[in-house]
Amino acid sequence: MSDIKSRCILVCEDDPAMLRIFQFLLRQQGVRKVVATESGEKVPHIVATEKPDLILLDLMLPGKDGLSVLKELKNNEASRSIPVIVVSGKEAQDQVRQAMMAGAIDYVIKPFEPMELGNRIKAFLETLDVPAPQDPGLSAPPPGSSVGGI
Amino acid sequence: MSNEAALDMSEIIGMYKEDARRMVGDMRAAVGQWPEVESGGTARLQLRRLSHQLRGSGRTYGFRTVSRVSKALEQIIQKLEKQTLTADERIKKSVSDKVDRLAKIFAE
Repeated sequence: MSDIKSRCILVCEDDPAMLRIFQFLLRQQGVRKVVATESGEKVPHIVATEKPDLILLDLMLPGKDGLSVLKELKNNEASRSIPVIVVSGKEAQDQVRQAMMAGAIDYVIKPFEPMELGNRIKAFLETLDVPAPQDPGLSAPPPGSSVGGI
Repeated sequence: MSNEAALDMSEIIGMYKEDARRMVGDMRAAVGQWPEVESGGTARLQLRRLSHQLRGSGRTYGFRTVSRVSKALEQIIQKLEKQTLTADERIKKSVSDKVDRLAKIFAE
């Protein structure tokens, strides 16, 4: 069984202040490898080379928007199973619904409480170590996973 | 619980303030290009992007007023985009006052 330290997390976020807080939270959770990009266009390439265990994805990005990135990831066999948590300032229910329909496992609305997000990420990463008994190709859903701001 | 100690964010708050000062400076510059805000040009896009970002990051870093003021700014820009507001002198002053308020928060 691997542990959180060995996990690789990809963060796609164009706001340096938010990127810093994600890196801080992930470091606090023991994650050693955080790959960051502010460009949605670069995500597929990074996913192919780094094979992240989890992606934190903003929706409002310069160039290709986060929802398009999410759809592209979920339409690609190689990246379909990588869990994506959307972290966005877009709080309209329609936006949340679209992201969840496109395959996000969670939707966190900015601003958020850092401790809550940190705990949620940690809980999710811990579930990656639990083998899914019926379908090994699917990862178990994170405990307490929910839609909305925290 | 070990996470509680981990939430001392002092090591990144100083950097956040630096980022925020720069962003507020960029907002000021955008307000200085008011004809572009009126016409929906780059300055308006810049104002919308920066107010959106500060709204998201402000409260997350513990600056609730930043999120509140930035949200009000973002809503004004959205109304300009939807043409339910006109970018007249009154709106310019309102936007300018809010940017000044943000600048004061990060001036300390």
